[in-house]
Amino acid sequence: MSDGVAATVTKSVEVPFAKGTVTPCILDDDPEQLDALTALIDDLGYKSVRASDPDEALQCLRHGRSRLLLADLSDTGLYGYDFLDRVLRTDPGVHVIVITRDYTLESALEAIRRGASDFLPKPVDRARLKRALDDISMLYDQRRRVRALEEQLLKDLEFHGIVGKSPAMLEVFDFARKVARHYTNVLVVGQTGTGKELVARAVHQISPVGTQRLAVCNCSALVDTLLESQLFGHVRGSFTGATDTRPGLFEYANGGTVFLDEVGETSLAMQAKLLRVIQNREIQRVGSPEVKQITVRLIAATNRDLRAEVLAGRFREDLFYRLSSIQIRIPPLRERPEDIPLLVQFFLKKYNEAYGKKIPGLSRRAQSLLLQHPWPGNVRELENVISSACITAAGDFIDLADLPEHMQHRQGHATGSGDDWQPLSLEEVRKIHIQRVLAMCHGNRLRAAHVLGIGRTSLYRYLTREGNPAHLGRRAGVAAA
Amino acid sequence: MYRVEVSGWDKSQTFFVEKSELVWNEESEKHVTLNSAVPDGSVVFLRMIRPLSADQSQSVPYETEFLTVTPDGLNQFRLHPVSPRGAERGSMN
Repeated sequence: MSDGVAATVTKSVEVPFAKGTVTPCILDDDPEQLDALTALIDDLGYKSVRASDPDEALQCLRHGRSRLLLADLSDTGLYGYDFLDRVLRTDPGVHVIVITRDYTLESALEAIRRGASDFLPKPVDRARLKRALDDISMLYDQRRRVRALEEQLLKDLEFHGIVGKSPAMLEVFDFARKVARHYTNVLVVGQTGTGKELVARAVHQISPVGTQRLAVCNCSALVDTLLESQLFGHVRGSFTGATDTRPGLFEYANGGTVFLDEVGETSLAMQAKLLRVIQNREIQRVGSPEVKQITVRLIAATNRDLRAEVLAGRFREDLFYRLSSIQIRIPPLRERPEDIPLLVQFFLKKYNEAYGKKIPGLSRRAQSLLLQHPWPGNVRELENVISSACITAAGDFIDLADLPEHMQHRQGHATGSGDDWQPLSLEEVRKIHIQRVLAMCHGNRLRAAHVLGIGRTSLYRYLTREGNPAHLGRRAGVAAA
Repeated sequence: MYRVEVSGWDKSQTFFVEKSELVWNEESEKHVTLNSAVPDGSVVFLRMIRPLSADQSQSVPYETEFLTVTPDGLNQFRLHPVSPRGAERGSMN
């Protein structure tokens, strides 16, 4: 493309931008050249910072005084391309324009391959330098505007503390809004760390009883006696340690909502008691004959396939139908990777505030790594990664070194699945594949059979041959977290 | 004692979430016992479980110091506050 054509193209797409966005740091060991470049850059409307040696230049970049380095580098010169590598290792977000007397096409390509933004021969052509500075300035300006838009988008895409822009999550928000208006029980289904409690709180807040109380009970955290006491209350002396008479969560939240997290972990005996609350709208404190009437909306949550639990005899069918007339399924994070950048922004903002930091974002390679990770711990795991990275990050951006070690090591794998190929027997391959599909379907054998393209009976026969089918299905349905 | 949810990465780099009890004694030492074997000096995140709170409580990071394996086979840790590097304000705790 000739300069004339380039000039025409540039003119037609020129967009106004803030010129003062970048402050170039100029590195040249020749004082005269340093003066000349400084004057030229000044004349082009940019402020600059001078450095007479590489360490000074690196300090300038580390302290954020500049994010653009104009450096006299060459393979044979005082400062070689190893310095270029050092700069980009220090901060992969920095732009480097190489300026050199020893211009060759090969050296230009080598510099760009190593990460330089541009390569200018000396003596520096004013128009070329202006174009290079303007391009980078425009890029920074664009990024700033994108960040501002992302902040606005974050506000628009937040649903009661939950963030998502994927079609799957927008559907969840939409459905939650619809069901919240009706005073009916809801079952929230999703893997650990997907935000079931947040969805439950959102449903409560939007509901007609949003101004009433919400009580949260984690059913896996307590043994039956303590769980019963927490839910229904107790009278003094009803069991060892019951030194006073107390109401339970159902009484506390009377007129409002009770959220039963991990309801799939409850015993059959506890399930019978919960069924009584739903059917008869009454409770009895532990150790008391008195029956109290209550009106509560129940929101239950589970990471298990309750239908499979019913089939296995571990969950009451009548309770299942009472809880699950309305189900909200929250997809795992790996099914909606387009939400990851938005969630990263959300958590960055949160932890910048919490830790008193001003980290604007992640390096490109860190972002790429996050998008490749399978997120078995879902949004909670992502939140912990960002929180941890914000704690350890010393630079402007979160980079690879700030991410958990196992994620950094994963970066070296070429395969997308992260599997190391081994020459297994067909039987082993089949076994591993079936277990993975079962895990993906949360232990639902009907769905797994459909995915595998085999009949349900064939799958049952295979599982029975391999061991206890219920046990295999359950293990497959429980996430690592 | 406080009911807490603890999350982090164990020695095999698997992400875990557990419910446990935080013991907070008079000397302001915090102890927690976990099923998961967490590398000494790693960061875990604690969230208080508060049944009657209007909002979900926030996760707070702590650095672990391995103390002992209990007779039940659980791993007991002392927890130390974490100071973010290069923070503009003081540490979280």
